[in-house]
Amino acid sequence: MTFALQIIVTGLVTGSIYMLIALGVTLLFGIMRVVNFVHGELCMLSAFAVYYVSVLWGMPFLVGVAAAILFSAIVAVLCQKLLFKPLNYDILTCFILGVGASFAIRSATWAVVGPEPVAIPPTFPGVFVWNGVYVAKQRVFAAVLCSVLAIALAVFLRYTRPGRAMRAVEQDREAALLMGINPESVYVTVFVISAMLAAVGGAMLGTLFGADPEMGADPLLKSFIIVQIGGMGSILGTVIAGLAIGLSDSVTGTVFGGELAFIFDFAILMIFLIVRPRGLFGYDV
Amino acid sequence: MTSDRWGIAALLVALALVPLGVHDSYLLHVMILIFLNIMLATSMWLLGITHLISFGQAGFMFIGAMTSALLTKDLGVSFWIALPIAGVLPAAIAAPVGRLSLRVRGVYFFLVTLAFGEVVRGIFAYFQTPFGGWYGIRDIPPPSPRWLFTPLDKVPFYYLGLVLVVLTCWVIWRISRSWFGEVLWSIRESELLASSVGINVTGYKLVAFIISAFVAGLAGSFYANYVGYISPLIFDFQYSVSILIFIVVGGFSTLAGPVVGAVVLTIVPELFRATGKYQMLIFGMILVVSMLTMPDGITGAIRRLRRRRAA
Repeated sequence: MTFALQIIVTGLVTGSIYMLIALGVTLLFGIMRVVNFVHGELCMLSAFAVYYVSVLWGMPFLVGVAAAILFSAIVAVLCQKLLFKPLNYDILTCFILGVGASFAIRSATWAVVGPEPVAIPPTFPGVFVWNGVYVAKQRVFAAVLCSVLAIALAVFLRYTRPGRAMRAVEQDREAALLMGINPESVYVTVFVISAMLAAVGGAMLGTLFGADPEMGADPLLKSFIIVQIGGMGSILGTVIAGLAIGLSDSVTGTVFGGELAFIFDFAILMIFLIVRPRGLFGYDV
Repeated sequence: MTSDRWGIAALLVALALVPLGVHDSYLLHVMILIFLNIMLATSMWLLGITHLISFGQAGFMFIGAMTSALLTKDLGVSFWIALPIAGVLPAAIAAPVGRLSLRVRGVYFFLVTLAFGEVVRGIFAYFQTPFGGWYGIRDIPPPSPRWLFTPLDKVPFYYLGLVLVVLTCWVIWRISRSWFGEVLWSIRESELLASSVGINVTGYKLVAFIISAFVAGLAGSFYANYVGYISPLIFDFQYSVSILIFIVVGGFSTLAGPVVGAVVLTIVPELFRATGKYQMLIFGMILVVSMLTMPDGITGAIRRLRRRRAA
């Protein structure tokens, strides 16, 4: 029983991080119909930003995270202005272009920081023990932070003016334009928010598992699976699917070893494609 | 049209004569790599006609390579029997995978095939016993007869590759010009219109997907028995992306596009080989720059230049 609880808690923690990263993907897709392949590299760059600022330069952890968010947002807006906007946000060409950009970024990072993975020591060392279940404090911190941010995002989209503007653009770009909303500036906001989510998720992954130039590929692929299962563009679907994928990873990882966990994710995806191709809460594809 | 034919005939004769003049085994090796990449690029191009890109192409190639490696090494089967099996098996796997992946359109299809390729890699990397795990399989025997295909002499492999690539290009060219290809082009123009005149759009895409998996499997088999070593580190997602870059840089609109792209982009990285870790950076930048400046690739840019000169 304790063992099962331990697996569930571990799964929910990693699931919440994946959920946060996938929220960025689903936000971009839902509002702009763009799949940003650079998203995983934003996570990777953020983890390294935290490493450089907090570990190498000795600044406090939160300063590192703030630097990571800033850096990630700058890179994302640069990608938007230089790559996606010239292509008029055409989904297929943007996807292919994003693949190229992501390789360039990954390879450039590799050249700068070297192939060795680096560790980011936990800000909150120590372990919580509760009914025989052990959770590192850093993990609890990550899970709480990710959940708070997810809720904040939902509140932001629902109740604030810029959030409402985003949903207006999502529903009908032309109508929003007629109501005096500038879609281009909404797009910048969307890219910045999505980059911030990637930055926090990447920073958390970095503190839990270390940072290396290849680390962006895995959360990106997982995000795609999560978003497809949850339904493209659906916040609630992404949250549920993210936690579910985290749980499934934890269970299969314990039973079969970490390398096979991904194959089970894919199996779940395939089942969804057979039974419900548009995902849990998605609209028709 | 006839001048094109003469040009192709002259090119083929020239290619057949290359080993008589070139004895440098490194140059021949690069030529063989070009042949392999052309096979893969044309296979992806056939499906690409319908605006679909299979990011699982490296996965199918890996399945073909693994089939060929296990058959020739562990079971002692001749390469000439293993080669067609290495094509049929990925095609057989492509049928159900394609049937499911084609339930989603456009970008979602990319993502699902991408995940498929990673799963193939994951499975081969996980199981040590038949597949060799992350270490892969080494000492895969070359094709028979042994006196002809020796590891030191690249010339027989050169001709084998040439035959395979010419056959592939010819078959894919014939397919793209047949009624089947016409249907694919009509799907490219307008999926809605095609389906409204009674064309089973998904069915045609599925067949194109299966054919491209077949060709990728053949290429994998040739790769395995030529290089003699395969591992999950080779057939990764980057490999699929490289194939895509061949087509994007070469141009999508004719078969010449993937061929030109594969030739140019096999030679360019070889020139940059000394830069090592920057190779992928250069590759990514070539993709980005060529998409922004030449939306229809090298062949499209040439065609536009010709037209401008004619006008």
